[in-house]
Amino acid sequence: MNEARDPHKRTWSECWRLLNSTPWQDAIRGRLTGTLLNKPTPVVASNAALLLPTSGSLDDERSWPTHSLPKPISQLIDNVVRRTWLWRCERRDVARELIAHFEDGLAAGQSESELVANFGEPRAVARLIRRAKLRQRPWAWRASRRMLQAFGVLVAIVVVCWSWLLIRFLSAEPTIQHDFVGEWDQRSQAIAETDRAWPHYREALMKIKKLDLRGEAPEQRANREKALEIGVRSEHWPLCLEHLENNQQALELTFRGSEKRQLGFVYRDESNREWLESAELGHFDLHQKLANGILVGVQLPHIQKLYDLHRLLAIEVEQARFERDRTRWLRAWFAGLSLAEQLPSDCAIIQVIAFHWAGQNWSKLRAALADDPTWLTDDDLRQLAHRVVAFQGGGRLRLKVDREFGDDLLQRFYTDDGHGDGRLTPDYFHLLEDAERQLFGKSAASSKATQAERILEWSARSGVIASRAEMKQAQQQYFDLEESESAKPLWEQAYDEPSPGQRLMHQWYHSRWQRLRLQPFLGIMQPLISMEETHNPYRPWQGAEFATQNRDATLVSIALTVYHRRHGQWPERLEQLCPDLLPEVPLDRFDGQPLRYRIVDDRPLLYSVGRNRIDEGGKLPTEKQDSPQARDGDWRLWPAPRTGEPSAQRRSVSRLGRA
Amino acid sequence: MRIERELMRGAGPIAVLKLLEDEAKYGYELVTALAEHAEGVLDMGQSTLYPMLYNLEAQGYVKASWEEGDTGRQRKYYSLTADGKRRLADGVEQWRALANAFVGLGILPGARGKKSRPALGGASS
Repeated sequence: MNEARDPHKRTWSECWRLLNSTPWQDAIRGRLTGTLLNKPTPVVASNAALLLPTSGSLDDERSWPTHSLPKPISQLIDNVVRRTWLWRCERRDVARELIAHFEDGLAAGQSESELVANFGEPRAVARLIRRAKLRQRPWAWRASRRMLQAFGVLVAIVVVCWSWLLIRFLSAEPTIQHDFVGEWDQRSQAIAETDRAWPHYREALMKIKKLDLRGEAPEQRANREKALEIGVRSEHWPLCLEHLENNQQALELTFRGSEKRQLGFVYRDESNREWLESAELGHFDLHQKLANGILVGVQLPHIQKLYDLHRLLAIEVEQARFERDRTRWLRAWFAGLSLAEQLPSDCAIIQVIAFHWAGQNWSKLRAALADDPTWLTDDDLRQLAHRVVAFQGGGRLRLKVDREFGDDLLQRFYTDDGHGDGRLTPDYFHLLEDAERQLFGKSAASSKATQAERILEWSARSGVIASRAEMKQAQQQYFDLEESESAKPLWEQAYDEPSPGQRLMHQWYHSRWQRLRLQPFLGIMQPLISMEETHNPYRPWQGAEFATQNRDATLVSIALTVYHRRHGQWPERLEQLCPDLLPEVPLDRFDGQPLRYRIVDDRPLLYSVGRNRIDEGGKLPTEKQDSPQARDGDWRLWPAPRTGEPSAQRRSVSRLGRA
Repeated sequence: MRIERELMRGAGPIAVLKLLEDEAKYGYELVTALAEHAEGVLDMGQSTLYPMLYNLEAQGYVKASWEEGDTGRQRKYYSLTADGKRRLADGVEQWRALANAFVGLGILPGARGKKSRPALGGASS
């Protein structure tokens, strides 16, 4: 700053700096000064011998005011101006003013040291000058600066909070204090080994040649499913027959198992190891899985596998009826019901499966009675009636184990502070990873970068996800609502609307905040939520009521058959069956009135008013009668419409409707 | 005697505005005027004056312009704007009220309710 530079002796670096300091450069920075906006001052003009139009940048070094001040003063000015970190044009302005100030001071007779001493500490002065000069800048610049500062503070806060959450999340470890699987095993071990069906079923499952519908072409799979539903009348029945013939050994073992009193599944039984390995129940380490199985992962897969055996029995029942082999039919029928009866009755999810299997058996019995009322003997009917009445799965749903599923998951995903509270751990994240790997293959979670991103994401989420106590409360709230609703008879339930539990779930799901907070719970309940989202009217928790209706209809059909045998005609009213054959007329679960009954063309017709609760004389609904979509018409319970029988929609006039 | 910084923060700008009331002045001139008229009480130091002037300029109370002085050197002259004049009038009024209150409290000598005379002559209000 002390000496003026000769503009005609520029080095390459100076030329580059010059080019870099064109007015355009300043325009980009948002400050046009110098000759573009302001009239150059005489000092500038006298020092800026430039060819290019000058700007704030260009003015700066070229127009730095010359002076003949002593070195200490010059250094002081330089020191102050440099420390202000202002724009060049502003620094130049300050420098000029300070030069003038010191020149005036010297001219007034003050000494150099006096001036320097009176001036103050350069750093403090520079700070004050900077602060004051910044206030002079355009409001747009100041607003941007404030915004940047606010943004910076925000970023800093986010980084600090996120880091804290990350450390908190990664350092969290669950404390598994309750061995739910062990308790379950203890209950099963209390059953005498000779009364356990599972060892036989396990052997049958290991021997069965799978009717693996998933491995087949869609068309073939559909054919098999259809054949199972329609029975021997199906053109694809040979496929089922082939399956039955291929699995005679498994069928025998199933019969043997069905003779036992209870299922008696002991998860941590070493004898299960071979089956677990062959059953491909997941890619978890088996040893780890056996030692530390998750209750929900332990209790459901083997029951799912039992479907294969139930399907085999269903084919056997159908084929025996076709061959009019009464003994064979009865054996398979009783075995099928036993399989349903042996399932644990304190878990609603499993109960629903048991109801489904039992329901299939009852339907087959009613169909057999309708087709040929004389085929089964009185003694057969008595035995069948006793078994139907004794079915243990009837009645209300029990959500005891379902609650335990939830509690077990909570203790595996949350820390435990000893008072029932805790925070989410990375174990939940790992479970999601495992689930994704199993569902979508390895690629979904293989990239380390993706994993890191997801850990960051989950650490942030862990800050808002509900605590263990809150999650437990939410679960309890849901299960309490569902349990009390399912305890009501169907005619007191809003079966065409979501249940109170489902409504609550929806409320949570549709609130962004609650969906985020309760994500682990809502994730598990996703199938139920999706059902509602797609307007699927199926209500799994109403399974007990439908099972009761089904069972009652079967008992009435047996009673009607016996009555017909005794009197040679059908009764005019169901009350005529009481009290000899029935203690009382069962109630229609849809409206709480006795089941409907009439004689049409000298044939009995037992029916329910169906979902619309209107007695339409047994007219078939538009949709398949027991499907969740069937909203109109009545449900014919006995004789039930055959699979494939045209519904009311496809028939111009229903014969029963006319009647 | 030099007054405390906090007090100076309120008094300093009014003193500077007052010095500029009659005519435009440059930095060094203001420094010497303050030292001279205020008997060193408002001698705020050269380093404090310039930021104060920049602040007053940013607030629109003064405007600055480079002009050539008697010596032929360039100096930055500061003069009052209309806003600056209003600010000065308000400031003077407030300081008078304060001085009266101090008189009432016996901190300053003089009869209660009597308006004290300004330190510099030619007050606008």
